[in-house]
Amino acid sequence: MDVILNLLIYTFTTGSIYCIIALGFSLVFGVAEILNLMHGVYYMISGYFVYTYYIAFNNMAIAVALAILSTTVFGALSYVVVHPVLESPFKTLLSTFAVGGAVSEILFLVYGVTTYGLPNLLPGGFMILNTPVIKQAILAAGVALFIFVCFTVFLSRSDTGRAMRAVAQNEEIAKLSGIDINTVKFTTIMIAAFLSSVAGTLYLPLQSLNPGVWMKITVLSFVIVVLGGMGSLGGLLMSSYIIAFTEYATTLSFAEGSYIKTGVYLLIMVVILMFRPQGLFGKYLGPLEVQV
Amino acid sequence: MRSLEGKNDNSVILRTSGLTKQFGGLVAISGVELGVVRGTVTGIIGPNGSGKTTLFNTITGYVRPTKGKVFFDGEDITGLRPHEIVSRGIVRTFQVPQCCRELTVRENIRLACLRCYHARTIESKIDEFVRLTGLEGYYDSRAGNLPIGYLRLLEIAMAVATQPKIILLDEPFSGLTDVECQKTSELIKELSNTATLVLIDHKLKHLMPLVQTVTVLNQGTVFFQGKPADVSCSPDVQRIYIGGEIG
Amino acid sequence: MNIGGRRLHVSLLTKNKRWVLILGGLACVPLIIDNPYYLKTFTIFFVYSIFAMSWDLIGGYLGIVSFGHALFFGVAAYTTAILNVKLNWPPLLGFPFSIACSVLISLVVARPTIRLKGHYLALVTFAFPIITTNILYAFPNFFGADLGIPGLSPLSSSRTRDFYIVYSFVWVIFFLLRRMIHSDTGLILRAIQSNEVAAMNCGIDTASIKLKMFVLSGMLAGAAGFLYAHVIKIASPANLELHMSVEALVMCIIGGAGTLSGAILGAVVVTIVNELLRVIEQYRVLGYYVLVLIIVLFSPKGLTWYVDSAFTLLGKGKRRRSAVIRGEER
Repeated sequence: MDVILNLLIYTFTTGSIYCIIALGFSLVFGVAEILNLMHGVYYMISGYFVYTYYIAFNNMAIAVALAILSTTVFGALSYVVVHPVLESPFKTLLSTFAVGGAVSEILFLVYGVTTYGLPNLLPGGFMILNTPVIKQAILAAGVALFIFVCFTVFLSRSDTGRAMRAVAQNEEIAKLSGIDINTVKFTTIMIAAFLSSVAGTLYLPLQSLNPGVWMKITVLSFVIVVLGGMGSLGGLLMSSYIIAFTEYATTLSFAEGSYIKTGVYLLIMVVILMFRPQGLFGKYLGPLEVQV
Repeated sequence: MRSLEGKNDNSVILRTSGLTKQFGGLVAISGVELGVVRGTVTGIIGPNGSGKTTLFNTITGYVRPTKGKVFFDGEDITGLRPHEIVSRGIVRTFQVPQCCRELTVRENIRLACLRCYHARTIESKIDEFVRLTGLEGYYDSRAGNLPIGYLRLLEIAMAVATQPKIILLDEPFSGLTDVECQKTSELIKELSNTATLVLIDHKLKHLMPLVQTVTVLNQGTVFFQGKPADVSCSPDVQRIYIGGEIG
Repeated sequence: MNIGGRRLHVSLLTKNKRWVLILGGLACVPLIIDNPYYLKTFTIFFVYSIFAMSWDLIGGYLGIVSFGHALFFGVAAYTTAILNVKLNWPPLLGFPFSIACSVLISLVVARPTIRLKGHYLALVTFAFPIITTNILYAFPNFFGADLGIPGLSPLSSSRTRDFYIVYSFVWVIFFLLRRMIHSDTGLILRAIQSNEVAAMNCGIDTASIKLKMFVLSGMLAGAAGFLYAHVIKIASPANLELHMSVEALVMCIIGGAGTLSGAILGAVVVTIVNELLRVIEQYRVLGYYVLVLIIVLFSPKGLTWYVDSAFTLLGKGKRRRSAVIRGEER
């Protein structure tokens, strides 16, 4: 019973976090057609920003706010760096990877391998049926879901959201309609960084910071996006929970579970790509296309 | 090139039976029964969206039919992959000529010759096909630099190089000037001496004189079949070509 | 090419004169260089050349852009490590088995990989090495987890002999591949990359050719992995890492691949750069990433057209092919 409850709690909290991280990745991929290999960096670096700002100002709330801001700016910078090679998807892949690696190395040199010691915004926990639940985790999940819903509204109602959807569907026509493609792509990456940083600043304090986590988060993001399929926000949400669930279940089921969980969901991704490339809930293939 | 002499026995070389293709909710062709007689030139006409190209696609393996069968020389070739169909003697051309743009004319034709011709004879065969289609002077031009008229000729040269028994031409006159259409007609006449032909096109002025039978498709089904003269006179056919004139 | 025997030989010679000189020049390396470390570096450069050529075969000539080529490299390395260290087989005996394992893995990976294009392909090829690494970590006692399997025997009794063994591999592979590229097979490869539909329409079984090339590529990468393991005498998860896969890409980008010699050139540059970076050991990894970034950002605009076409022209896969077939666009 305990195990199941833990599983559910983990699935809910972690899944919600994964959802907005994957959302950012899906946006960048769908709108800007960039398979952003450094996507995980936004999540990771927001944690480091929080840590640094907390040490500077000794106030978690301020640290979180500043970290979110800084990460968004960082996201903008990452676009600027990669921008010259955007017409070449191959070069984009390589350069995003290189930037990710470089940032990770810099963080490693400055902060070392692991960093601990951040207090939670919402300290303490409570019990559900004899299972401890950390308040911060629930806060993180709640905020994540709230942001997700807000974003859904943003995407369908706002001008920017509409522009983003237009560019995602057909860049040429969007351009002809007078939409500034560059600005839209730029905004999209910033939104992706913002979403990841919300997740990171709230969730990372619960864990230790590690400069190598970016790749795992990137992998996680594209697995979720492939599983869920492009064009379906609900699908993305479902898929995030499925992956979070799988992750935890794998860790429980195998002795070396924590080492192989990445492999497990990558295997799921490969299977999906082979048999149902549009994902479980996908409406269109987007830049992910498969030949007949 | 293979000659049809002695084989003009009025037998059906290509037959489709109940051929249907559905793309999601859209039915592109439905229940198409087509019989192409060996040694003839058949025309397939119809308004846009009537399923002509889909018909070609399902016959030649680029698209798998939802229902129905395709028979060639008595063999059931439904669902075979495109290269297998080419190796049985059916070749087709595309509305947008499919040639390897980065390769030269010579290399493209050579590519097509690889399957059927021995290495020693390929060079002379390339010359033969170039002469047939009038591409002299373009041997070493990059295909991507050729204007559309010459690209079509190249595509036809490549098609002929596969030693086809039947050639399906998809809109060979599209995008060409009248003069170019004339030349293409002459080429098609010459091709008809050695292979059965099926033509799709909208330019009926050029198509009709070449064909012996015409099949009219409308909204995915066979609307009318008969001699060119019958088709031209039929008020029904004129009606489905909105605002169009025939012949 | 197939003009006549005599003319063929003459043209081969003049074309290859340059290479014969380089070949001869490099053969003298062990005679000039005494330092065993530098000799080993040269040997590693040759191994990298083989690896780069294996990637280029499918990436540069077929547009199958593999982001996980380290898979074949690492699988071969581990195979020979297990046979050599755990079962005490001599490297010579382990060689065919390593290659066989690479071939097997290629066949397994081929099915999802070959049918996909562009970003999809990148993701799938990216995934497989990670899955394999995970499998390695799942059995830490057998595979040695992080540390891998150390203690492999060297290829021969001296570093110089090692050098010549790897050296012969490189040139045999290079000249064989070169002959293939300049033959009709090479024409078919270029045709498939340019317009697969056109190739199919010539009666060419493109799927089968892609599979064969993919397996050949995996085999060659496996050969490189085998040699590498015995030169550095250890097989570790680093052999499978993304870093290794990216090395192949970087080497081919620098060398301006789509040509075999480009792959070798790229390997030279990367090896030299890696060695130079050792000077700033602490910042070596960072320096590497920064350099890759600079190279990618400042490489000439058209440099990677051959792989980009795999993403865009060909890579809008189904939509593009259906459009072609529907008669809408090129």
